[in-house]
Amino acid sequence: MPAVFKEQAHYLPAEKGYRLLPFRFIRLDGTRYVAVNEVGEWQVLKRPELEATVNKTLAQNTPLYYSLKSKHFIQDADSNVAMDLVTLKARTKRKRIADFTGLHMFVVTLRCNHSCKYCQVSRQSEDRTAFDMTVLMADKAIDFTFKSPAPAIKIEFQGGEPLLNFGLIKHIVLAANKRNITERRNLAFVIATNLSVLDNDILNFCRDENVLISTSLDGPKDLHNTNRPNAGNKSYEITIEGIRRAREALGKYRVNALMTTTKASLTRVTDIVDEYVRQDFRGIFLRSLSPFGFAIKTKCFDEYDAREWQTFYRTGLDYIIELNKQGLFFVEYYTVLALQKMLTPYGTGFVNLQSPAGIGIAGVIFNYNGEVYPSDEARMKAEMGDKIFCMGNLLKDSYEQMMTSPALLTPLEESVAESVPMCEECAFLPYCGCDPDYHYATQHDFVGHKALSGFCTKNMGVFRYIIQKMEDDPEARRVLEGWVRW
Amino acid sequence: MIPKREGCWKAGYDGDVMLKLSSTCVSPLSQVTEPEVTVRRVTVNPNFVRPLRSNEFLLFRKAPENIPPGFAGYLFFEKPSGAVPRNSFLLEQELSYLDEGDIVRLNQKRNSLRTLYRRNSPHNFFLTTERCNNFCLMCSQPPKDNEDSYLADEILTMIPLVSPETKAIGLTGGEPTLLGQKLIDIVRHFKSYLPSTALHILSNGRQFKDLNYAKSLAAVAHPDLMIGTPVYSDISSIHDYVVQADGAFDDTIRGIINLKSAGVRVEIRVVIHKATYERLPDLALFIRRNLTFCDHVALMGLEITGFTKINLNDLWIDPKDYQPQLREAVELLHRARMAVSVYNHQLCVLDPALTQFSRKSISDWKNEYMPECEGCTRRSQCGGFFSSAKLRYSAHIAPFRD
Amino acid sequence: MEAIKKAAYRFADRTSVIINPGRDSTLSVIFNFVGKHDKNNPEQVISDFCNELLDQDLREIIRREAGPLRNLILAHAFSGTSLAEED
Repeated sequence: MPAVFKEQAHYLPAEKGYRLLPFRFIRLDGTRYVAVNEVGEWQVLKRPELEATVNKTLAQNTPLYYSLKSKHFIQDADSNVAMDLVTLKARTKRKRIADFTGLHMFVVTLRCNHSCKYCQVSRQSEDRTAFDMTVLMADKAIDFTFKSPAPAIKIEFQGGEPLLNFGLIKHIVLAANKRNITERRNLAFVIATNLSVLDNDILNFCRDENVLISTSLDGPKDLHNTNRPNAGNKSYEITIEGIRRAREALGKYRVNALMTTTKASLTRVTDIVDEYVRQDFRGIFLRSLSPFGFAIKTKCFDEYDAREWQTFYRTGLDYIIELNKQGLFFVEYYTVLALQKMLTPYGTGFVNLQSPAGIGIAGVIFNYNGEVYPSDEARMKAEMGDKIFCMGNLLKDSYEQMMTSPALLTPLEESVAESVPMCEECAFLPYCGCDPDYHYATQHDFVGHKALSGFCTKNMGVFRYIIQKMEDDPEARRVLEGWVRW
Repeated sequence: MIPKREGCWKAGYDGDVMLKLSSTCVSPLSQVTEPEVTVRRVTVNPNFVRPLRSNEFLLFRKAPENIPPGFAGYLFFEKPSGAVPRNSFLLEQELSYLDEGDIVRLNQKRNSLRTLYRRNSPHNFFLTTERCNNFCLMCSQPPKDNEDSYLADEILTMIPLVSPETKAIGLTGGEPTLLGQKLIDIVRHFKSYLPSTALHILSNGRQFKDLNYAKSLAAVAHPDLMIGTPVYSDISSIHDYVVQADGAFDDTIRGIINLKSAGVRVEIRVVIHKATYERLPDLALFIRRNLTFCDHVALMGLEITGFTKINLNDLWIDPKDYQPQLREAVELLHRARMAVSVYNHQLCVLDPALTQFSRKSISDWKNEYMPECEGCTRRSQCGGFFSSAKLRYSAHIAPFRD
Repeated sequence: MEAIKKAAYRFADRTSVIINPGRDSTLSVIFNFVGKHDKNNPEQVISDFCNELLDQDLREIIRREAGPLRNLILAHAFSGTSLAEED
């Protein structure tokens, strides 16, 4: 080029060398490591490359050097805008914390007509009205809900079987909507139901007031009915028929299904996925079994550990990716959450994968007796006799008292992943969370020893697997990229 | 907003037919009392309202029978037989595209006329200055370090003459922000006189590293303003090399952040050539992770004009050869729900997946086509070429036969 | 010592570790494979443990150099001020 123009070499940094920006790393597999920066951008590299990077012997202007510089793992004399950008990204990732509590769960009754093996709630028969939430509690709970500054609020009805107290649901929906005329939040309602008492009044109401329905579908008929016995053992048929009717009345995309994993499910993942595909859902959440409620009492939880679940998850994810490659758009929702943290500048609102924990900050639950807990798992612990997480009672305590009670603040402070052993140096910290209720239930400690934690094993396994897939399988990578909601 | 047609202010394009926007063959036909340099609007309407005639040049396509009085000047293509009023000028035929509402600058000392604004054109760009603080390898408007503040003043006088129905106007250069406060004044003038006209400022963004400058631009509250800012790489040294200025990357990134934080819309522009195509997917990843808040990303083909011609060996790559990188970059941005467009590429060269992102940046009639285009069934959807493309274009041009 | 402790913590699911300071600033590390740990392959675990120690060294370097930057980033990110450049 003419002399007035300078060659590329002229613009390289005047001083050689670079400095490290904050990042963590962990072994991925074999000889590979994965480094993750403060805001979740990742780079897979071989161990010698990692050593060279940290020891400042990495050759300049090689593809790896460029990649690390672009993703803000290193910074050289040529540019000092990295810190500004990382700071912006760090704030963006955590923006949801400032939005504060979005999910508000109302346990409108503890009564139920099923006896699911893993039920995390006391079984009560159908005719004990002492286990219903009162109107007074509901009104106080609505006040509490709107004290949250969140621009988007989701009110979720739980139980027992919430539709057994449909009258109260109606009251709450109408009262909240009326309140929302002035509050002007993005307000959504969901009923988590087994669909066994669905009638036209209920469906019409849900259609008119825009209430979503969420139900349990554990898999094909034999699996579902084994897990979820009821009188007559027709839970599966009821569920399928209920889904059909609900979709017809409310709209296809206003009906959602969740599965729960039991020992019986572990070898049946493709059957379960097939069932969801057959029932025309757009995705499935491959959940792990939580160590609460009846799961522990009936020894469901003891029967397998996180490693067996890992196989279940990986087989399931592989199968689902294959379905996508064959042209069906179908996602695995836990993977989507992880991908969102890995690929986008944003965080997620999922309460169980947050640091600081999602208890209270992301979600709160109002129990049938007016007691307030910071998560569903926490109230299950209470039903089993340990009220350690109880923040207070709607009938006695104020919002401020309950949200600043030690029952909430102590586990929050103690469990913050950024300051506990193993987590604070873990590469997956930006993707992961802390789960004080889980660790309290399993280890009787809000923090938990992560080397012995099913929560940790599960998540590390999930993140490792996703990163391996993205690195090693370009077609799978394109599929996974397409799942992310920006 | 359709991007700048590089070089079009000098020798204009209507479609891709070369229009002569600058003429030095203006002959006075009578006494001239107009100032030495004057900017006037053109009308072909002899019944133009009397009180406003003193601002207008009346244009005659044919020699008229009578000449109505009161106009600032008269433009002829044929010399009339009888007497002509003061400030009458004979123009060469190449200027016969001139029409109602166009704005011209007449320099009677040099006998020159330059068309500054054409009402019928969808691509009007006002040159703010030829000075620049970058020196891009592919600059279509090679910088000159002249005292040219008259250009900014001229724009201020032009704005009230522009037709209010004009959809969009671009401000270009050189580097418009070197005008400092004058640029803010110009934007305010646009808002005042042309509130329905979109304003697109092409800038390297570096001056906006001063937050106060960004804020003062935002404070004008122009109803439809966008800054088009190039970012050529995710790596500072590569970007600096392409724009030939140390520290440009940092300034530009800071400028973009400040503009967005002040509430100004920003478009990121990337010209694809040999120095930028390889890391295009990495740049896309960088943008969607660090600059997600930007309003549009424009990926553009190289135009063989200005500095590009002399740096061709370091810049030219057949567009067909970088389609994989272009496709990956577009998909990465599109999935992140960012608005993406591809400009200045012929449809036969583009990866078919990119057709939906391709925008016709060359007008839809009288485009330039190459011999290889003969018989192509998609000529009307494809923009064709710039005239300058004759110097170098893809070896893979081939007609569609759908 | 820090590195050994951290590695020992991480390996708690595979082995239990006893650290004894010896003379001349040496340390002896005893690996115990009893109870549910006796299913593990001791050689593999110890080899992994040594690799983990090397990893801890690298982490320490990063911590020393980038730790203050991390504090800066988080302090800034959580502050209420605008992150755009003030002149």
